[in-house]
Amino acid sequence: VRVQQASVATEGPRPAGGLFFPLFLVGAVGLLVVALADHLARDSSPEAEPLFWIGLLFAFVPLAVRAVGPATSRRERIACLCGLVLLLSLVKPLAQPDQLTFFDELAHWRSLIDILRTGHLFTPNPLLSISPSFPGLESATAALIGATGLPAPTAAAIVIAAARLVLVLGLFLFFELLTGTPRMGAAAAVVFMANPRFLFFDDQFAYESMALGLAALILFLEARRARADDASPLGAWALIALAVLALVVTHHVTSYALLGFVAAWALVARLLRKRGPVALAALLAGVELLWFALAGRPTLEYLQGGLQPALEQAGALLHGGVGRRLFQASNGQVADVWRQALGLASALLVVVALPLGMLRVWHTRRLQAPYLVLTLSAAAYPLSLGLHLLPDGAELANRMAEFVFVGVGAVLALVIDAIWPIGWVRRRVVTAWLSVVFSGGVIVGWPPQMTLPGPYLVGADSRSVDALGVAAASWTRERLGTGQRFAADRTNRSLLGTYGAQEPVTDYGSRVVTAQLFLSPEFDDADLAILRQGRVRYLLVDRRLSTALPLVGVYFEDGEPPVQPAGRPIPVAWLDKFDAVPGASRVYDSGDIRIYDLGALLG
Amino acid sequence: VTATARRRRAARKARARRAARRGTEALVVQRRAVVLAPPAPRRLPAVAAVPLSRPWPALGAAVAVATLICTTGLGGTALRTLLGVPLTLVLPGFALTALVWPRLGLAERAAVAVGVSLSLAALSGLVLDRTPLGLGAAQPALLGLVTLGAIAAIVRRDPSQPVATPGEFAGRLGRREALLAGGAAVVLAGALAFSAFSAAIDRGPGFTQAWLVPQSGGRLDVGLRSGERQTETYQLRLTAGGAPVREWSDVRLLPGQQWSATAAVPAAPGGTAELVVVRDADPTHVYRSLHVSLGGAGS
Repeated sequence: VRVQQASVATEGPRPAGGLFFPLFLVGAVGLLVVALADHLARDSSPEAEPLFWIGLLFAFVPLAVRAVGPATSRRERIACLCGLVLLLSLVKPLAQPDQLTFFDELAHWRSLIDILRTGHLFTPNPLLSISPSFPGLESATAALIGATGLPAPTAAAIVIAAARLVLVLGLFLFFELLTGTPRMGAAAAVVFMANPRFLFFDDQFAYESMALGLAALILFLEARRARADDASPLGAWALIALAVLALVVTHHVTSYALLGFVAAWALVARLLRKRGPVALAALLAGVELLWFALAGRPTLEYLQGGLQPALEQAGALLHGGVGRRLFQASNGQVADVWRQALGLASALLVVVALPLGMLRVWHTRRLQAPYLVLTLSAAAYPLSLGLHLLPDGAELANRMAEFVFVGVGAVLALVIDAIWPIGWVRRRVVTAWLSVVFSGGVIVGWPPQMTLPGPYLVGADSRSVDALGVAAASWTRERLGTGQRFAADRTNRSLLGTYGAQEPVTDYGSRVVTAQLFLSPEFDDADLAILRQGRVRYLLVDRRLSTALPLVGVYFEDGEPPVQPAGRPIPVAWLDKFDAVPGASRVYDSGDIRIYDLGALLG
Repeated sequence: VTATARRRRAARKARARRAARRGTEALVVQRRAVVLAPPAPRRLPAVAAVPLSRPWPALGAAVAVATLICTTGLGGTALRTLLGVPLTLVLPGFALTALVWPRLGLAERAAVAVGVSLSLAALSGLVLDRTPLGLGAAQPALLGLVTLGAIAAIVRRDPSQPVATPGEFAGRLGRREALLAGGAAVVLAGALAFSAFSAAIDRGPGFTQAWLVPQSGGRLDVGLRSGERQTETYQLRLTAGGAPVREWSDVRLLPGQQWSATAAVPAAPGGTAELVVVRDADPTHVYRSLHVSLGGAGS
């Protein structure tokens, strides 16, 4: 015993890392395999898909299992979590290096372009009207660009990676404080990272990606402030207030969700006769109200537009309506059987484990107010699965995933801790469980056609962004000037709004149904009225739309008139009709993309 | 107890250094091996071991230089990136956290430093939006000032406050860990470089952009830009109301190359000017066709 004590006393600091470094190298090699898979996918090679999944699992599983293992030191857990954030944050940039291609990130890029162009916030954004009202992300990215001179896509990737690091570390530290053990903190963070949106959606340049990190930071700061007196109270509150202000001006839903969680925590704590975060709830509510009054009023309409269809469809489904077929894209494409099996298994494994975790919560943590609230939010997971049955519910269900999985992580951390105290058999069980939940989550949360890069697809967001569209949008900026009013399909509209700095006219942004212009066989007086109402000077026509149905369900925007006969792509003659319109000029032609000047028709 | 242990550790290190200078390192290692098996691995020098008697003023000076470079745009993008990323995303939060929470652990401080820096970067835009300075270059200046203010407050309160309290992360990298970390960094850099290379490969069928844009004074801007995969030669014919106006023969473009010209078109209200582009590779097929209404489409 004396020798052992002497060893501990005189050995000095132990080598940092433990198994982290070899496992991180394995993860890095996994990422190299993902890069190879992306390369093959660009050439439409069938080997790309299996390689991608092998690489992805090598990047995630070893570090994740080490992070939740029973014999891992705290510093190694933290290193594993940071390694996981780094590796998983590189999967998207590997597919689209130095490019912003996701639909949402193109919209936010437009806000950033406007900020850099004008030097000021709140310039109306024709691609996403709510974005200028919540400029936190764009402001932070503009600061980084101002300091470094980096191009926007690179600066965006750095800001989002930093936010994801804060998110995962913040959750780990928060759960560590709640549970009292680094292991359960790490397990909760790892389960959270297995949520369907973490790999792709939350890695995009969008306000939610940054806001989630700020929300996790606020939770940790509040828990730390309440449990330790090693900071000046005023200083601690100053840091919390900074993070709250930044969160509220960054993303509406995340700040509302945090307010809901903190308020419920305070309420449950009061019921349990314990101290709760009443002051934080009051601070959040006050700042939310202030920002809503100053700039956030369009939020109500925006959120209503997202929720209302799902609620209506839920009502219809309850009254005997027909639901959506699972694993089927809007254009009718059905996912492979193995994808369906893995996606279902992922959801099933979480649903099966949740009651075990809830039982553990009841036995060991029923007097912990935040844990009870987290358990309630975890209980929403099975309900969110039901939303997948609604035609417009899958998007809502996926959008809930990040928030629900904070609770799921907290509950399932208790299960992991309970079933894997020691032994390699139980380690294998946890390894298999994490592998299936993570990979199935990726399948559920992101369309298979967009998981890997590849040739152009119709109406498929990132897969519809290609050199032809970017060249056309860039050309408009050079030859037509900026700020021209355009009508175009969903993808080219985003490219025109960013690469071209033009003003796309839509039903969503301008209350003008420009989709009608493209979805009618003849150009008639109604179309002329639309042009004049929206003061649409230019039309961009992408003839490739006539080759397939759109993967995301619409060619132009939600609520567009259906193509008749139903189930067929737009006839190419409908797209070519502008050649025969007197006064219309075809000023640009790159083969598939044509631009018409209709200025002579505007009167 | 901690102070005693620290003194003992310092004395032990001093003895080891003296022994090493005398060439008796082997003896010391052997003694450690007997008493403290297993032997400690060889360590690489660590930055944390470099003594800094007044770390905060030194950090403050570095922040001031970084702010100056990032705000004025001196130096290339590489230098600005090296300084600008920590100036924007780490240092403001790091300094504020050290001011408020001097004894926070390293992981906690890392999360709070980056999170608070992100918050400050986001809020800096709101502060500057209503000023003539606006957003952009003024933001790093503001963030630098916040950082310097926090550092000044720390120095005023306790100049000897350590910059970092390594705590449980005090272990230095052994040779094996350093090799593995270096290997992982090389593999990741390789993956990123390979992806950039792969994405830059032109896999499409190739295309040519052609345009015919009315300009003021009855002139037309005519142009081609090649996105083809090989050199192409084009023939262009411009007509107005069916009558030939001008032809351009043998316009030869390398991939990525552009050609443009201006042509005057006789005024013909209600008439149409048409541009037809044919490739030498396929002379019987109209490759690009454009037309403008001469009635009033001029910009």
